[in-house]
Amino acid sequence: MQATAKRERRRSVLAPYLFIAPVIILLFIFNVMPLLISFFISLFDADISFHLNKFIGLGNFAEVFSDNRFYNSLGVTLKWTVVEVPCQLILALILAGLLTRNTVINKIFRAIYFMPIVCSATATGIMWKLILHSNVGYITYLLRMMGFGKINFMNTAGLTFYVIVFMSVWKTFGISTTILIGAMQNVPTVLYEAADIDGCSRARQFFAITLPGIRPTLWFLIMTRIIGSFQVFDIVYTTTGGGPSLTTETLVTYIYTRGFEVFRMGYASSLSVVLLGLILIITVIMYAAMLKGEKD
Amino acid sequence: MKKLLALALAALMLLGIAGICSADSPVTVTFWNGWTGSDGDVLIEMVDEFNKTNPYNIHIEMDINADFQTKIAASFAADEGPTMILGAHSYKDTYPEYLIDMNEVFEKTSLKSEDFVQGYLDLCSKNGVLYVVPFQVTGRYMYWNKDLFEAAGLDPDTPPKSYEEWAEWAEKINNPDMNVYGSGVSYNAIYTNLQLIQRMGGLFITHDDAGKLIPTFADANGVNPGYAKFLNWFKTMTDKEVNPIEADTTSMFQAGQIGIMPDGAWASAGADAAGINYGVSQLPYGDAGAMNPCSVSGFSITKYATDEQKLAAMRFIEWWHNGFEGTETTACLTWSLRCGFPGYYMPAINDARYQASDKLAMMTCTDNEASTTYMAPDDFTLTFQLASEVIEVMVEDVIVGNMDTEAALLKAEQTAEALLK
Repeated sequence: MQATAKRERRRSVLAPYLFIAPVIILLFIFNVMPLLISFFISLFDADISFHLNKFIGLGNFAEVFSDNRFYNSLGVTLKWTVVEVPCQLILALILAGLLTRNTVINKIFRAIYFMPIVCSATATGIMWKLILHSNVGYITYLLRMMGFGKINFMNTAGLTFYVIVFMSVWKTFGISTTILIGAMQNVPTVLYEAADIDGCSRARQFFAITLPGIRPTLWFLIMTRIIGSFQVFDIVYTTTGGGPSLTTETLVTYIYTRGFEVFRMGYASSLSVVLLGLILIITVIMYAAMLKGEKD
Repeated sequence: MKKLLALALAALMLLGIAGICSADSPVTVTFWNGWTGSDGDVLIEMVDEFNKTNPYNIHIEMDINADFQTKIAASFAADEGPTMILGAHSYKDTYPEYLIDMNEVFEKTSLKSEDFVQGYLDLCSKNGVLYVVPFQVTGRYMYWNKDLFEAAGLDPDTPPKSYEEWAEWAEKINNPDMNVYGSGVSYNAIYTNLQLIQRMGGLFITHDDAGKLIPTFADANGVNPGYAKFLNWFKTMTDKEVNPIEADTTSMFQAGQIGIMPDGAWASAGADAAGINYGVSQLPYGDAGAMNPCSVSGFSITKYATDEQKLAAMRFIEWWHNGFEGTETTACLTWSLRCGFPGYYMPAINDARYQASDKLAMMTCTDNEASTTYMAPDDFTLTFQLASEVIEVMVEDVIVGNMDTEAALLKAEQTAEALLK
């Protein structure tokens, strides 16, 4: 009797683990293992075919921290985070505020805004590159007709970075908007009705009711967007490849060139490990801030 | 007893089926490459033709992948690989341990090494081992827009013969009102630019008296005058707005907005499609003398091929160059005629149809004295790094970053030295 009860208890304890086992196994194979292998490779002077030529310990990491191009790409990535994430979230917040109600027009606009998300990053990158081409670009041509002179959007150090940021915002603001609309629709309407009765303005309602109501979603978006901005690659690679003069070279673009253009897999792996560390630190800080905000 | 009999009969049937299958099943050659452009369509046609017409029961299973470089690297890393690949001549340095000696193709097929331009075979070989059988020669050429030449009062059939003339004529062609630039050197088309730089200043890496590899951007006597000349030549043209600061000048040439442009053979297909009236020729020689630096792509067989697959792959390479009995146009010749790539195989070059093509004739280097050495001597293996880490950065520093020419060359020398260490 006692043995059966024990077995039952063991079963009920093990059951949840069995249910999550497939996901854990997949995570282990496709996330944890590559991570560990990447760290292992970073300790070697390894080439493209992963011939572990020579064990160099932390030699690659020492090189990372004395590599000017690493600092340049880190600077570009941080700048990207500081500029792209707020731009995208503010735009998404404004649009979500305007499109919360489920009217037909709003639904059409939501679909339009979502369209760039489903397009391939490579295709949109090439499209923008042609539209903004200094000489044969349609927008450049229109601006020239309007008297703005020749604007070299894609080849001017200093300007091109912001052009790529714009492309990225254009490509991804739809998803942030959609998520925020969902969150805003979950804010209880009674709160707005009460605010209306109290004579509260729309702007005040937005800051006093909507924003606190969607805070968890907003935190989620901020965190995922920041992590995403540290991993930005496709839009940069297909439009500028990091140029001109490395002014748009992000960390992941740099890692890619180390791995697949100059074939230094060991060094590329060490850069990836450093990037992982950075993302981890930022995530922990953000998470702590979020928890503190929730407590307050 | 009945059960045993049924089992025995079933086993016999299975064995029979297996026997029939093995007798008729073709030899499959997996063939990976990265030819995803319009020339890839021609390649697909050619492979299909071989699959349909070859009498050896060979089936080429081609995988054209935009991510070929990553795929092949990952595959070799996993100690696996396709039978055959189309790779660059530099694979002799990147993957020598994964590729077999292709000299075997001259023993096992009717192909003769003397039919290939020796310089290209040399480029694909190391220490007597041929890693790549040429398939395509990728050089850079000078394109000029004949209509723009005519509008500027220049002879549309005579391209500039020197870089001084290039700059001078570009100024004549330049027409800001019509959005036309005289010259179209792209600042980040590094594999094009290094052809110009090498013609003006020689190899980027050489041997010193002791046989040690050294960079040539600057030395105790000062900076390389040829490289400085290129940077100043390019910078002057961009400062005068005779040459745009633009990465993609090919689209501009196709839009009729560029007078003279350096580019690869592939640019001709786009210019043809756009209806541009253009001429093409060899790039002028610079101060470094007669030079025809180029890269060669070609067929390599991996060590993962079985003997049967090796022979099948070699038969495909043989067919590519010689066809079968009665073949009117070999695949090799078709490739040149349809895709515009200059030849490397004498029977194709000597064909009347090849000779009748003005463009191919102009792109084919007939100067046997011209050196085909690409960037650095054979024992220097870091050509990718040299191009992207040193030369590209140097050009962009000057053209986009407005760095002083001398400072950029000194910086390039330091970076190249670090690379060599």
